[in-house]
Amino acid sequence: MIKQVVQQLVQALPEGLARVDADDFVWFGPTEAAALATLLQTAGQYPGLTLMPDLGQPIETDRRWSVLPVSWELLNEIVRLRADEYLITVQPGMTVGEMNRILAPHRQRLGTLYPSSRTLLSLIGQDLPCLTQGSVGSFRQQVTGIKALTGAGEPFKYGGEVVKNVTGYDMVALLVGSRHQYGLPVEVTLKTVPIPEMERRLVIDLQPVDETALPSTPALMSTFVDEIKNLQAELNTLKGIALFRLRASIGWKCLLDCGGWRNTVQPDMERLQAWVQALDARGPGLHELDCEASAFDHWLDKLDWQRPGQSYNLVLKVALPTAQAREFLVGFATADWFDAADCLWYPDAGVMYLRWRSPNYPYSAELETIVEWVEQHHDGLVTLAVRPVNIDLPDTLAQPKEPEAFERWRYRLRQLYDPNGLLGPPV
Amino acid sequence: MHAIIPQPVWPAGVPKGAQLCYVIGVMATTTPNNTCLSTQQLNALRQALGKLYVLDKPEVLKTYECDACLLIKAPPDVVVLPRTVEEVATVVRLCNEWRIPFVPRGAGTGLSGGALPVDGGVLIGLNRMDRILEVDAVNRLAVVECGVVNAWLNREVKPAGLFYAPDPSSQTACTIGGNVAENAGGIHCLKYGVTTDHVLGLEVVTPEGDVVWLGGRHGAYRHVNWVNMFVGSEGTMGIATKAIVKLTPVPDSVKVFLAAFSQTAQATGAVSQIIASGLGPSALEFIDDFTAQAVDAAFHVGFPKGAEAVLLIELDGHPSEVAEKEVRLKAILETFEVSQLRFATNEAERLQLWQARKGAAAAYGRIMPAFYLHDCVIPRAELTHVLHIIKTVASDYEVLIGNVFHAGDGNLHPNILFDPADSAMMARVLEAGEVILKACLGVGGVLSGEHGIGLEKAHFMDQLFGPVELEVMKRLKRVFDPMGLANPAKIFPAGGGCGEGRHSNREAVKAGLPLKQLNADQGWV
Ligand SMILES: Cc1cc2nc3c(=O)[nH]c(=O)nc-3n(C[C@H](O)[C@H](O)[C@H](O)COP(=O)(O)OP(=O)(O)OC[C@H]3O[C@@H](n4cnc5c(N)ncnc54)[C@H](O)[C@@H]3O)c2cc1C
Repeated sequence: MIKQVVQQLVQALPEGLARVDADDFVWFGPTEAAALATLLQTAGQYPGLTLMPDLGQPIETDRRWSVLPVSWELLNEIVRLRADEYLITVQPGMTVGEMNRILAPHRQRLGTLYPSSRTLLSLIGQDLPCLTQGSVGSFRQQVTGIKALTGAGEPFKYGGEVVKNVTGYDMVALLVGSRHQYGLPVEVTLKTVPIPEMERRLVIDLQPVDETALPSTPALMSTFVDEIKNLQAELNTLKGIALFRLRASIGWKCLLDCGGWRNTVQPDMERLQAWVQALDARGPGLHELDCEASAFDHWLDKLDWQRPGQSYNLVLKVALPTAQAREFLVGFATADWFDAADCLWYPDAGVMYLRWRSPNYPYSAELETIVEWVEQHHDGLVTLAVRPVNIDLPDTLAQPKEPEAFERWRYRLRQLYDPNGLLGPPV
Repeated sequence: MHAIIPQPVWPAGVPKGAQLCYVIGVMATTTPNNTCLSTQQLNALRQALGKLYVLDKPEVLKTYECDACLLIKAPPDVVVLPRTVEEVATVVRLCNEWRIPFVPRGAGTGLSGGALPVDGGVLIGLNRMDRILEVDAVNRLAVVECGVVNAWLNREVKPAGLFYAPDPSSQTACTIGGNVAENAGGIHCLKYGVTTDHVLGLEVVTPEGDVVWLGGRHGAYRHVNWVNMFVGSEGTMGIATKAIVKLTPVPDSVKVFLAAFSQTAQATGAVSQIIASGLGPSALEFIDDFTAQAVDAAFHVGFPKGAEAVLLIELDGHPSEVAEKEVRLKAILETFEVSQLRFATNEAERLQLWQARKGAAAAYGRIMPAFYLHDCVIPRAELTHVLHIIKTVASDYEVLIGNVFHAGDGNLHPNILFDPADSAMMARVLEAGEVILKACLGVGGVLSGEHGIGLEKAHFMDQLFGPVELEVMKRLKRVFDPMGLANPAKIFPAGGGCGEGRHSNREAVKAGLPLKQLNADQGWV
């Protein structure tokens, strides 16, 4: 039945807009904003369909006739580069790597540091935290202008090639981080930053390599989190910092991005060496400092935890002010669920990710403990970073309790910005 | 009834026939019994807030008849001064029950007529909600009530080595709530960002009378960024009662330079070069000769004479970084015709320079009783071109225009001086403003960078946005305020006149029309 509807839709669309893949599934590849508008307007006339923006990752699961992928692959042109203004305007199908390649000859790049393969479309949908958030601001702060379409295909815009703007409502805030539920971007203007004269991107192995001499985990954690605080205070050219542990590799690591004038970065590097040596002197084993850019890129890529299509059972995003995040790390260091998790903390963004691969674990009661600790006692917020698989979620996570006003607002947002229910579950 | 004397001039777009919209220089008289609120309603407000905090005497209401945009005045029907969020919510719920509009107001320093109750109703002054509730130095945040004055917060957090970055020139008077509502900027926003970048959470009384927290200390959200949506909504999405704001560490070292240029184009060229160099100054302000002399006469800072333009450039950071930037800044300035370059040698001199810059508005007051200020933002590369147009406009329309603005952001502030008593001058001022605005839009600019649209620029919105775009934007108001009671007639060009709308709305209320019909038919939204 739905297959027939899709076929009718395909016939109603201008030629070339709908494509069919090897498995006979239909997807769409608009080449310009007008084509996307046509798609939205036409598809809106066929009830029961959902358009799913393809975020640059293969859509492995959940292939259904009613969910139709829309690719931005062909909406990936550069519109304008204003190097003198530190602004770039592009179509959202462009990847971070492509944008940075265009900017490089002008000794510029995007301020927010994301893996090269990420598309701008996915960043807009997810408003991801990043390593350099403390120095350049959030992703949302990078967007100075946007052109987009509502779910009904109506065009709208906000801002442009200006770095400051309060002309009407902040439509960027409506779109960024909303998972494309209220509109689809077709053109975006982003701030860029100068590439500093000197950069050092480093990975520090914080945990003693000699695991037999491992101190107790809480002691280790409390040392680390305090050490990180000291390090942040000491480095003048620090642009970004992240602390993480992957179960698959040994121990806690720290990613550091330093940049600035040569004569300011160099003293920082000496301070960093001294800091690592001091750490060495205190604990057994070696604390390594890896200055290879490739090592940094490797970890940056590995830490792309909100990527859809990854086979993790559960990825939680825990937002907490710094002091509370430290308390969380130290306090829960001995908990089994914490021990089983991969952990990534961006102290400057106030965001921590916890990720589990084990089927059916952590248990519902443990998740409840986390949510209660974070939300009820420590002014934080826990959200699901990607759709969970095989996990028995407690209600606090599955249907988080929110003020009734939010429910009304969400309902109205969907009604007004996606009246045909194409961009998400029907209201 | 309000006695309105015929208008000598009418600002473009402010609807004619509006009962409460009238141009400065025109007298209005109000008597208590001509308010739109009945005696029972006034009594209900008194019961909720206490007699002292419900103001309805004409001479008192006059205090609230305008904000710092002196073009438009509208005395409120009644002013209430709540002390707690519960009191604010009670007033809003009563307004819902009575289906009358309410308008939040902070210090009334707004420059776009945002706090004027042109559709009548209750003006809610937040000034008694003025407590700094918490300074959390470890997490670098503060929790404040929204009537707190911006500068008070800075005074409070200074001992902890922190500051609240958004620093409008009006910071000694304007409130955090007003800053949130306008997404206020300031001199240091070039480096540190505007208000929206510094708000983690907001306690809000919604237009439907609920009390909710948007965001929180964590600054995060679940798929809808309510906080950033609310900031800059000019009181049309509800009333902010508390804010959790970020605090920033005071930089180790700060140096302010004053560079004087014999020609404007040299100064604007230097601005473009400084930006393009990636030097990242923390402030980059432009002051034209007219303003520099006015400021100097008032504050005696020793601005050079005979220079067409002065730039104030601030560098901050670690001392070694500032030293490095200084070398590079000087190298850039050497390529331009700088007639004088000096820097503040101590903290007192630095503060004096900034106080002088922030005191420009007061200095204009020594020349002319009032000014009309535009706030467009343009690409910085267009500064030379647009400043030239402004100069031509000043001479064509025979008006005095002072330029003092956030050059690093491309955020122009042409101040067109006027005497409200001179109606011919008023007409020229309004026209000159419109020409300047169009020139800014022509180079890819936007209408406002920090002062908001309010009432004063609402009629320009359709020059930047098409009808569909405006309609899509307007829907956001409907999400939060389906009844259209929160600060109506602002931001969007009125379909009918603001007063006309008000009038018919009131007629409808009297006729007992159902809410839905009222909302759909009367176009408050
Ligand atoms: C001399 C001078 C210099 C200025 N310099 C700057 C500058 O450098 N940068 C800048 O950005 N602005 C500047 N302004 C403009 C003005 O000070 C700001 O817009 C300020 O944020 C207004 O704050 P307020 O408390 O006076 O608000 P008001 O003028 O009382 O209100 C402004 C708007 O906010 C709404 N509002 C007020 N409080 C609340 C609340 N709690 N909740 C919801 N809505 C509310 C009102 O309804 C209105 O729409 C300047 C003004 C003057 C007079």
